[in-house]
Amino acid sequence: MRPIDLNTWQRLAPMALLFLIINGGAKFVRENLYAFAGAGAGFAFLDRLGMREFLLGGLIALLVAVLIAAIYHRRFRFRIEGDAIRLRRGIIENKDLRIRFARIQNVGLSQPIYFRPFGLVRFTLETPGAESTEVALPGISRELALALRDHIARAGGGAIAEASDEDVTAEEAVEDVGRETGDTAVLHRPGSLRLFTHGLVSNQVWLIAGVGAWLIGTLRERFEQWIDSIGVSLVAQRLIELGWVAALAGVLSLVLLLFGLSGVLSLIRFHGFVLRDLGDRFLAVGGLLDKREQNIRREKLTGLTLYQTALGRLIGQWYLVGKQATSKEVEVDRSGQNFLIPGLRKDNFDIVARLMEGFSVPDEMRPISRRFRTLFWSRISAVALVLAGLAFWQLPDQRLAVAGALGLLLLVLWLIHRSWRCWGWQVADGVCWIQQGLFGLRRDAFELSQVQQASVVRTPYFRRHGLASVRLVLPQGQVTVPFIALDDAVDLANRAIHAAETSLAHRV
Amino acid sequence: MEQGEIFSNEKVDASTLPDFQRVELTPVADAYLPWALITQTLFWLLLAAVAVVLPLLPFEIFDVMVAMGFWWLPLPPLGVAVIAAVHARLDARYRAWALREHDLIYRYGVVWRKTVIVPFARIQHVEAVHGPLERYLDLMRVKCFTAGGMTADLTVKGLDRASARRVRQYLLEQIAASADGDEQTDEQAQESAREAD
Repeated sequence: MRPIDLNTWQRLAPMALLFLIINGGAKFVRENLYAFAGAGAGFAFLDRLGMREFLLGGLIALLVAVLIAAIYHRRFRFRIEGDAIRLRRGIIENKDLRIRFARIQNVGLSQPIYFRPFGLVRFTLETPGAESTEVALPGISRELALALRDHIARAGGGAIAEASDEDVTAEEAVEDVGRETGDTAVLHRPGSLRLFTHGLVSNQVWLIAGVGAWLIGTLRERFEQWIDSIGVSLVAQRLIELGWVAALAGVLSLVLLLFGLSGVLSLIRFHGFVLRDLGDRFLAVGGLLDKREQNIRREKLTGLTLYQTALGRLIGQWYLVGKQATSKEVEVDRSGQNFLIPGLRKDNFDIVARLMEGFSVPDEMRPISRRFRTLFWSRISAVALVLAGLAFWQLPDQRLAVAGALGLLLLVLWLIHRSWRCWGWQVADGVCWIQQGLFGLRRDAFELSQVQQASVVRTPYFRRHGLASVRLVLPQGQVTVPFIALDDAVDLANRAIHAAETSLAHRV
Repeated sequence: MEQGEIFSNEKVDASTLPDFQRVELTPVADAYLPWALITQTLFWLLLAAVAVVLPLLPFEIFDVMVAMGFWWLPLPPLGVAVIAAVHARLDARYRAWALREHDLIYRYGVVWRKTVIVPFARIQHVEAVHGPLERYLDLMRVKCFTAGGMTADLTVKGLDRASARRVRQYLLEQIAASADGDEQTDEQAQESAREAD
């Protein structure tokens, strides 16, 4: 095969034009979904239009989409320039982008099912400063993508030799996803059952339920008409006649369906997931319909978080998210584009030390002060009791409801207790762990040398009781250790600042 | 750079670490209080004044309002103005800053008292800002940007212009010095990688 000269301008594959049109159309519909479905206005609008107008409008929209995609496709070009990748794109406004390899923290390759017959892949690059994916090459040949990826790894990593020493080249790693090998580079390979249970225990199920409820709520009238038209209402009527048992069975089957769907979605998303250690980077490959490959540079990993949802706690399953510098203010989707490793059990926790040297999951965490519980218990109880007393006095006929509200107060107090029990922190060998949760658990781990700022916060209550909270700003966001002894807080801040100031690590 | 080089495992005795609490902080400039008073109370005072003046205007609607017992309308903004003034006074007394060899310490807050420490090695860039009122009062703000999102940026308010310029210059020198250090360690890492090859 003729080697690809990356120093000359490269273009998107011709077939990418088709995908640009499809993706552009899908994006347009997704972004304007509210206009179509939100208020039901879209449907009313369509009802008033005839088929001819509708087709004509559709044709014009299609032509515009093709024209825009064609211009974008024609202008899109990229090449390697020394230690950087340069990219030119744009329709009205031309964008000329140059990204140094040293700044790149992720290289991603994904191959949706419809790309496969054409041997195309979607190639993405991420840098710490960008809100979203900085560079996306939407449809280049697999050979070109692999050549680009390897070039960036060689130029940016500097330790690619280690990967080849282990006889696991990146290409093999991608191709051998399904192959059972005993090589040491494999860090994690959860089976299908683990991936399915990941779907069951991840909070994705609530997301599906929420979207489903919204869609059904929005389209209720149409849905009811449709149910009437296919005669299902008779079945529903019969179910109602059967009473509580049927209602319970209905709810149960709906819940089972939701969980089953979530499990299957997880299986599709992570199908054949393998995480490998390639020396200077980690390679995660998986996915059935959209086969994705993530290359995360080891030095760009700034911390990790272990998550265990409430349901995950029941079956002892965790998942891990590798953290990187971000400019995002809030973690919108903690599983979305992140470096997520699903299907972990406690006996897989050695992966933590292999991902980040010197990290090990602590057996025990230092608790935060009991004052956390006392403060919230006393304040919330005082307000609730005063309100209940007033209601008891002023509304004698509502006393049962007031008693019920006081029962609810007990639940709130128990939740505060649970939250307090979940909070914990630990510093060992320059690595800090912070745990929090309510029913599930979240454990953040990071090196103190990664700290960008440290704050010690004291309220009047804290000052009275010798307490403080510590807020640490990390490249991946902020973490807080609340309600700890002032001496501990000062010690933690001093250690963090000392570690940051004596660290050899670069700015992110 | 190899992760192994970043990671160190030496035991550090907490009592030997530099303690930020022992640093004597410099209070903000005297002009900060008038600036805080004007910016925090002026709006509410204006609102109170509007509430006083409105019923005096010859419009029927305001007469109706007075008749309905809305005479107390200027009081809430006036109350907020008084609280804001007290807050500004307390804030100006507590707000302070200090430069150490390797970091900047800034203390502020009235109810939630915060002490923030920013190592120079973590500052991405520095900005000095001053509005018209600050120019009049000879004040300047210094904004320090670090990684970790926009809310992570620290704004040091209440510096007189000369101090602010000195602080900015000092920060820039320290950032440049630590960047040189970064580059040197980067070069060393690259050399050791080449040797390994």
